[in-house]
Amino acid sequence: MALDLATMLGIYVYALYALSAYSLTYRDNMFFKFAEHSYLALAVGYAGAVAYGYVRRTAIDPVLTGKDLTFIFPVLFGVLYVFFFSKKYFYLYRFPMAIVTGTGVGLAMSGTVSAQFMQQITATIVLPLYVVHPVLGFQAMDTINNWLIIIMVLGTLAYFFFSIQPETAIGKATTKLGLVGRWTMMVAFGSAFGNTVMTRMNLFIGVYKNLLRDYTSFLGLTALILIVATLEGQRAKKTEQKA
Amino acid sequence: MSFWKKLEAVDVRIIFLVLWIAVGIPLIAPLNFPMAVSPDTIKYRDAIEALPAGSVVAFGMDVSPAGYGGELGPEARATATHLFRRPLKVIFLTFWETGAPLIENVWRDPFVAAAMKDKKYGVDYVNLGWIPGSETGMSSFATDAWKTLEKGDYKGTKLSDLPIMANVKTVNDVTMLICIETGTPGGPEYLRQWWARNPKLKVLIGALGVDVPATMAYIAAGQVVSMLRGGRGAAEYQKLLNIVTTADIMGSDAMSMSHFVVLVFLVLGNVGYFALKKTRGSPVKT
Repeated sequence: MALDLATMLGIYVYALYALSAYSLTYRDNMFFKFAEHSYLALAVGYAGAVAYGYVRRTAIDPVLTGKDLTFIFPVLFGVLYVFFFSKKYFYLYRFPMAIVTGTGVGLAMSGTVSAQFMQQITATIVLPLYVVHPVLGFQAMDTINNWLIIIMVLGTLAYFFFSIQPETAIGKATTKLGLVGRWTMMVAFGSAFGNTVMTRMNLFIGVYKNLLRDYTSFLGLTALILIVATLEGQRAKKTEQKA
Repeated sequence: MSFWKKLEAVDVRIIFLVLWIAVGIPLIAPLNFPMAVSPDTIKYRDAIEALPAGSVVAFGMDVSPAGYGGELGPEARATATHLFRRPLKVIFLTFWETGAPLIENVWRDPFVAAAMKDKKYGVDYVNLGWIPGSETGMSSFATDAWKTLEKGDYKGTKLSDLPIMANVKTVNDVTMLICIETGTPGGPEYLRQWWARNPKLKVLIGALGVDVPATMAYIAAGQVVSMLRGGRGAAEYQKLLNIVTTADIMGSDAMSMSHFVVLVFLVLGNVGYFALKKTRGSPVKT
């Protein structure tokens, strides 16, 4: 299927940026820097434009047209953010920052207690230690799972329990239980790390799939970037040797 | 120099090259690896299937382009296809400014487009676009959706002109929340601001692989019904919905290949570490 010029151009631009970003795995080079800086500029520019559009529609326009003058206060408060760049008036920047932080923390904490503390604790406490399904009968795997959860939660709590003298009998028992917690956390970190690798791989596969839509751009640009990166590396090496 | 010492000194670029080749093979010719569907994915499908007709579903497209290009795109497209196949009211929204343009990108998927052929904008589905304020925005929407969205939907249409929004004033009017999440704000913030106000809310999460362990705790506590586990979960869901293309098969094969390569390197690295530790002793005290 023949592609139109705009699609072809899109594929080449995509391939150039993707390969430039991945070229870091070979060595640092001008293509990578170009892609890195372009991405940052694009992300900041997009976020800025979207935020400005929203503030203009929601707050500035109603003030300018006289529809709702109350927005003048939050807008002026927002302008105080600019004083982040002033040594003399830096304290003014703290006012909007304090409001945003206070609101955020207040809102988050109100929901956190019920959604992330109480519910999690309750769910752990009410876990049945002997699981029986009304139709299927005894559930061995669920029972083992629940026991594991309870032991691991207690172990992890014990690991962070520092108020007991380790020389006492209770202290020794807590330390031993804490070892279970240490293993639990290592397993959890390992699982998180494994999932992180999977996510990165999926990102890579997504890009790779798109690159393979057009072999000429993929192979051509890969060759070009590798050549330039090698030449640049050699030039940098020579400059280093001369110095 | 022993084999293990040679392996320890191998240029990291060789590993990258092996990965490029291993992942590239199934992307050129699919290998058709078998794939079992996990209980989480079945539960995710069943939760949507069990919704009564006319239920209001909030579809949080809280994604970045990078997340969307990898794992979340397939998750979002499969979920949207399923939702549009059912007689439900779907409200698309996002608390990520990068998520707004991607909502329409989801609709352009051939399977989604086919499923929403007979659906009417404003009646069966709506795109509310980006709601600023992150968690504060979530809280605001949960308590008064109409006031939060005085600007209207994504295109500026007033909510009063959208029949789908007539009975949706607060989070208590939403039956199910599906959050396709890249990061913060995402699942935990929805739980704090939406679920805490409406514990009857059925929550499904389309997670990045990296978020899977954290989300499991919420499923165990009964706050989240189920989740799609990254790209793998998306592939399983596509299989359940029978919307798998050759490109998807290639993608899941490539995923399996990449995991296989990583596992091989992981085993080699560990065996090498212990083999060398025997000869020279470990510098790390454990």
